[in-house]
Amino acid sequence: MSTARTKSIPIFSLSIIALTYFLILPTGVLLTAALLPTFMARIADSHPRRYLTFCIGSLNIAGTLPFTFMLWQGEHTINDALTILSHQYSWLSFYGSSAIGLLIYSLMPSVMRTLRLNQLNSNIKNAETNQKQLIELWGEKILPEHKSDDSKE
Amino acid sequence: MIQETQEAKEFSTNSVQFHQFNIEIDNPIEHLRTPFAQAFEVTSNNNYDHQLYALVFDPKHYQRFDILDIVTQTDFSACVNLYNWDIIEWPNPQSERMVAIFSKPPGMKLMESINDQVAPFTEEHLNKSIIRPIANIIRKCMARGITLRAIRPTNLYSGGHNNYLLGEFISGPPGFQQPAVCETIKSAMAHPSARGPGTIADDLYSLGVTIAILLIGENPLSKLSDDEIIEQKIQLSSYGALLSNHRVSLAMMEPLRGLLMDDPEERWSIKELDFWIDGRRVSPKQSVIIPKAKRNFSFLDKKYNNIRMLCSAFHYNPIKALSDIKSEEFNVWLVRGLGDKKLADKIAQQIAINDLQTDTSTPEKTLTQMCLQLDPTSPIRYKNFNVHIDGIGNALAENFNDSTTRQIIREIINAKLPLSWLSAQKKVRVALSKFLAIYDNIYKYSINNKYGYGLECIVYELNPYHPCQSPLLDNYYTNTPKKILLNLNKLAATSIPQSCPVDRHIAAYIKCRGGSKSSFWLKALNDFNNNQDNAIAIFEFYGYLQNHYHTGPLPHLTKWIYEYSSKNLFQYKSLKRLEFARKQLEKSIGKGCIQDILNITCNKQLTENDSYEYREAKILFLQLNRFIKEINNEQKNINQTSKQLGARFASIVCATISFSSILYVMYRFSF
Repeated sequence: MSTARTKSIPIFSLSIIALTYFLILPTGVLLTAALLPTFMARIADSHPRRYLTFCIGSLNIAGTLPFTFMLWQGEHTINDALTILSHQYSWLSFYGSSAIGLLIYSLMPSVMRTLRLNQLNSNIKNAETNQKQLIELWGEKILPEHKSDDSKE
Repeated sequence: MIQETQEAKEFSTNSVQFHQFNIEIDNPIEHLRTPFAQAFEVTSNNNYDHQLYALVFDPKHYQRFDILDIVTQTDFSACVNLYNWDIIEWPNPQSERMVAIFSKPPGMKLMESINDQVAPFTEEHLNKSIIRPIANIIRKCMARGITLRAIRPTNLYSGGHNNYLLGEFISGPPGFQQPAVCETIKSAMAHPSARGPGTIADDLYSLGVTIAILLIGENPLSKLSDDEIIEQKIQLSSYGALLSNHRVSLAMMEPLRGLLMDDPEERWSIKELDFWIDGRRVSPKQSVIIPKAKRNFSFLDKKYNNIRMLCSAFHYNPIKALSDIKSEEFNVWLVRGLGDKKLADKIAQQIAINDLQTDTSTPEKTLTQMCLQLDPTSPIRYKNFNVHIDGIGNALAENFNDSTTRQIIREIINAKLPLSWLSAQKKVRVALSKFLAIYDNIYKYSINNKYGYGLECIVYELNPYHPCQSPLLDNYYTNTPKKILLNLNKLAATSIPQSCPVDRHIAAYIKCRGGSKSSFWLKALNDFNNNQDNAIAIFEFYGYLQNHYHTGPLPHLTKWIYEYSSKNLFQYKSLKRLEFARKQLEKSIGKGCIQDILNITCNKQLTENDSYEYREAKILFLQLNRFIKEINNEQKNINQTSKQLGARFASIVCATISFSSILYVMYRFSF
């Protein structure tokens, strides 16, 4: 019973999407072509939080949105959609923004690694300086391995 | 002899100034020296009637300093008079010595040895030159509550004009130099150092023996050993032993029989002697001989007919003796031979008590207790060391450095034998009752091995004038608690010893002479948990003494205590505080106030703050350690972490750019 119910949900969703697609067909055509990198990223992204999809998708949407508005401000016909798709700058905007997203996603770990390493080294240095100061103030008896009469206290 | 030569060399040609007296240390007087003191010629700026001599006492021996003040204040006439005494700096070896200045007898000793012969004294001569003057001395001693214990022919000096002077009687333990013949039976039985001060009756007995020897012109028992003299006196009575083979006039028989009575209760008192000197005549007393058994008891192949000699013999083989005492034969001997049924019952009772006791009683201890029942008037006989109830303190002081004797005395006290001796006495005397409380306390001190107790404490408790015998103070004569501090300060001024500034002798001396408050500080010396507490206890102990006795600054002692304790003393864990305290200490040590050092090193408020901060610092150090460990772990996994973080951050950046772009586009297309 439950299996049937889970199966019915995507079918229902896909049906709604398909219906909408045909109702606003020009927009659908435009978005199908423009958001292709996002769909590809979604397929390739195995991370549970879909960071790759999010990076590419968000900039892909940002690059697609001006052309969508242009389509909507016109007569919203298939011809208009195809006109936009035939224009080279449109493709540059769709795929260029996606490439920037991919670039940010690819470079950011290295940047973060460098920044984090610097931060960690600085933390270690500070901690060691503090320990040194404590030893200067209290002597080696403060070291955990130092056997003193502290145990009697 | 070699030792004497060395000592003679030690004394250089210099002389030592002592008040108005000049002690000529290159002029020793051999015939006036004693086993405990050296004698030297003395010159004085003042004009004295007599020539003078000085006795320089050996600090390692017991001396009768308890009677010094009384003797100084008394003019004994027919005795060498003590003019002055004090502690002086003695050269070669550099040390402090007790010195006493006496009037020097004009002539030599009447007898060099007790076995020498002299021309027999006539009765008149004896009466005038010996009996009257010595009776006078005894009377003065009795009035002042002291005894001489030094009346013997070898302590008589020619005083000119057919007069004689009694020599000094303060060097050494009382009665130590007395030959066995001059002592009563029970006193002669005791070890010479353990005879105790005794009573005036003992002095009167010694006078009786001296009269007898001078009357005859020799010691009638000269060929006998000490044990044989005692045996002879027991068998024949003292009078019989000394005079049975000599004719004595009726006039002299009277004092001799009276003074030589073996029972002190029956012996002439000074009053009776005075009556005789004044010309009153009474019939001579008959000597009382110790009861003899009708038949002999055999022990170790020797036959005995009296209980006193038998008890002495028992100690040659305690195990055999105990087996004999428990035997039926001995019981029969007591009842039928000695005719003392009560004694037999008492011994049977004692045997029953001993059989019931399951403690670790040694045969010697059991035998001593048996002998105390059999012969209660004799000294405590234990392991061939016989000691009088009032001689234990003297014996311990004199033999403290002899480990064997010391151990015997310890065993005597630990076995409560003095208390057993007191309870065995048939006659309850007031003079003995004081010993009950004393020996009850002494037992408690003996079984306590802490600082301030033990045999060291007993030495000072039983000998109130005995100087401190601490090895640290070897070169000093230390007879007050204040002088302990001053002398330790002097000692540290030359070189600071490595040893602890408090030893068992010092602690015991302070316990006995330092008043009740000193016990509190001694408790701290004993009850410490670690070296730090011990160091503080030493400081507090000397700090209290310095304040209590107003000694003034003691910089060297302070430095000594500080150097000994510095490793353990400081309670501060902070190195900065330590450094600051050390700088302050350097200034304070010079001032010599022990309490100041303690205040600097052990300030309670600062110590508490320091401990709290130390604990906090230790926790912080551990936290930092953990933090560094975590960072190191993170560095190992940096690729994985940065990938995760980078992806997250990239998505944020992309979202931001996208959102801004969308807003811009919407804005452009709206207008």
